[in-house]
Amino acid sequence: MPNEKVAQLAARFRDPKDLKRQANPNLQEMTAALDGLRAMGTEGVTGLVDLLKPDAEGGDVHVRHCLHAQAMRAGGWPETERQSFAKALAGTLKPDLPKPSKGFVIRQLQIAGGNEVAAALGEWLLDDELWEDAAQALLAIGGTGEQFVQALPKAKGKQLLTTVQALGVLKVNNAAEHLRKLVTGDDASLRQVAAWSLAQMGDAASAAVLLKAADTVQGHERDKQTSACLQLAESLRALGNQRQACLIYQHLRDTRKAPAETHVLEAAERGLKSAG
Amino acid sequence: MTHKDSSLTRRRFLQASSAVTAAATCQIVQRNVLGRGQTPPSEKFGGALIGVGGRGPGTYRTMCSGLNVQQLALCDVKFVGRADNKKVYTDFRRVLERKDIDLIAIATPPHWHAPIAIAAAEAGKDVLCEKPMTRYIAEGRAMVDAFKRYNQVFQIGTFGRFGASGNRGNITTHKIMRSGLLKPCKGVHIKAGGLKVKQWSGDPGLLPQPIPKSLDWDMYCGPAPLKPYVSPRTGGTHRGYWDYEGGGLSDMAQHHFDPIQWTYGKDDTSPVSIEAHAPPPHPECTGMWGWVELTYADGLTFAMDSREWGERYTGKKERGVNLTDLSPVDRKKVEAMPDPPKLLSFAKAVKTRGQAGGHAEAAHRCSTMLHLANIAIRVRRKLRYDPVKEQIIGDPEANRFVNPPTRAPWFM
Repeated sequence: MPNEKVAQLAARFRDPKDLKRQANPNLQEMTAALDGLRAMGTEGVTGLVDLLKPDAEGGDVHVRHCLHAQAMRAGGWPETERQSFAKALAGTLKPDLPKPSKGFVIRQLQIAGGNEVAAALGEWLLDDELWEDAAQALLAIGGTGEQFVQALPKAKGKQLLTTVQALGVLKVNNAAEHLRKLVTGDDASLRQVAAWSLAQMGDAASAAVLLKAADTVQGHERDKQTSACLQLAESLRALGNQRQACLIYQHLRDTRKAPAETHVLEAAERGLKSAG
Repeated sequence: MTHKDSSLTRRRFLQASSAVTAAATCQIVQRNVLGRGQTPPSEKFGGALIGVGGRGPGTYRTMCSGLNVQQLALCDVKFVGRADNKKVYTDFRRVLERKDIDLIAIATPPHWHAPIAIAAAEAGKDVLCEKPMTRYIAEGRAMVDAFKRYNQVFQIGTFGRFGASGNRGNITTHKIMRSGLLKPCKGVHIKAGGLKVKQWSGDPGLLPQPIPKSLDWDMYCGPAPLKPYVSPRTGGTHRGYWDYEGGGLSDMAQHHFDPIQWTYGKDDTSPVSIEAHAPPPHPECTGMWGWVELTYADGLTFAMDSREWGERYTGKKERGVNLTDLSPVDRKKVEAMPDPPKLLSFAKAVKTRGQAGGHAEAAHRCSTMLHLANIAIRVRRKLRYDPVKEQIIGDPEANRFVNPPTRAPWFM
């Protein structure tokens, strides 16, 4: 049964379409609703989630608006209260909650969640419908490499692509060995994402693999793989490994002689000059 | 020149000959020694338009201004069933692979600007990109880095700064600000109205619709979250969805603030304090807001007053910056400063391999201003921003909007 008090408070959020036409959202009413829900603690969170409806059904615009607005506010609350809010939200990710509603909840955790919900979110990284929402929430939270490392051996297809990209964003260097194998695999998208991720990590041991990959492909993939090499060189320079960076620049300078790749040759020359 | 003739490309040639007259250029360059289209620089460039609806044709025409451009490709994700991969494409990557294309006009919704522009720079193309430059702040930094890495020309699709930089009063203000002698700066610029807040608010609560057969919806969403299709997410009304843009504020304020940013000499920095008056935000759709105040480290303040909702902005009064704000000694120093160099048009920048007036860093800083305003509107907390690290200070949740994750494989 819906929580009547929560439903009444949420109803003070009118349909934004109506607000748009009237250009008159009532700040006082909305703030009072959010304050009332906040005072209810966990009940004010779970009650809102109970009111969510599947995407194809609609009719819950005010509920989504209200829950999202509260998630936005939670970032400004005392840390313990924000954590309680996030835990209450993560606690609704139970089997009986429809997947589209789970997706919406996870997207609110992307805003208000912290490490306290990382494990709960990690459980959805291999879900056929929710993996992208879960991955984006974990990436936003940050420091969540462990969840992606755990997912890596089992991830396939687009989930693997997402996982590999996430490992690069988070600079999870202990996944580098696994990613180096993907740079020479059969999937072109995966090859590019893996190379980019290794470049972000500044993984010196990947230099030869990335250069070889860039040398052996054509078209857009060659541009992307070459870019990964240059970005790896920049990462290495930032880490103080000038020597390895120079080896990358020298290779590109010596191999990118075709007129269509003059911009690469020049980028390598500038890199060499900057690296001394 | 240390390279063999076979590597004498248009780019190398232009760098070497920027001081040579165009007439001389035409006489000495052979088509077969030039790369990337193999045409002399004073003759023909290959051009492509990516994102053909709405602003597309206008953006393309602007890109061609002052240049002899042959249109070689049109690309749009709504061309499914029409693409021949010779002139008409659905996948921008196939366009960028063409070595006969030198110039790219990007007029997609903003969530695609960064991935396409970066890929274009990686492919050695010059880019004219519609405003707003980006969807998020970190995308802008990635674009700046890419265009710097490859030394390609970038010009944002708004041009007010070219007029502003020719105005004597603006030049004086620019020199005062760039001199660093005005501390604190009491200048206040207020943009009141004209930001199309209601017009570009989103349309929430629509039920999912069938995806048109001509549209590659997955590719349309690209780096943004894959959401159920509803028609207002495309075709201009995309502006009202956070996934793709930032409402009228993002759409219109880059026009307004681009010349103001130049005038006040802020092309290389960002505000340090941002405060907004707005109602609670909707998760999917942009909506109403009252005002935003952005303050730079030196005290310069920009404000936006929507005039469409809530309280009017009353924080500070409009006030210009004048020579009389300086001591007599400092005034003389500013008066002795040379005028800033004339801004280069996109055409001139392409021909000389110089930096276009609306270059990537300047466009990114202006776009950052708008994104910070929208973040303050969404989180409804006063924000502090570090313009060097490009991070919101002391508010990790708000900082998540500086660099939200992108959907694989659309990394920056």
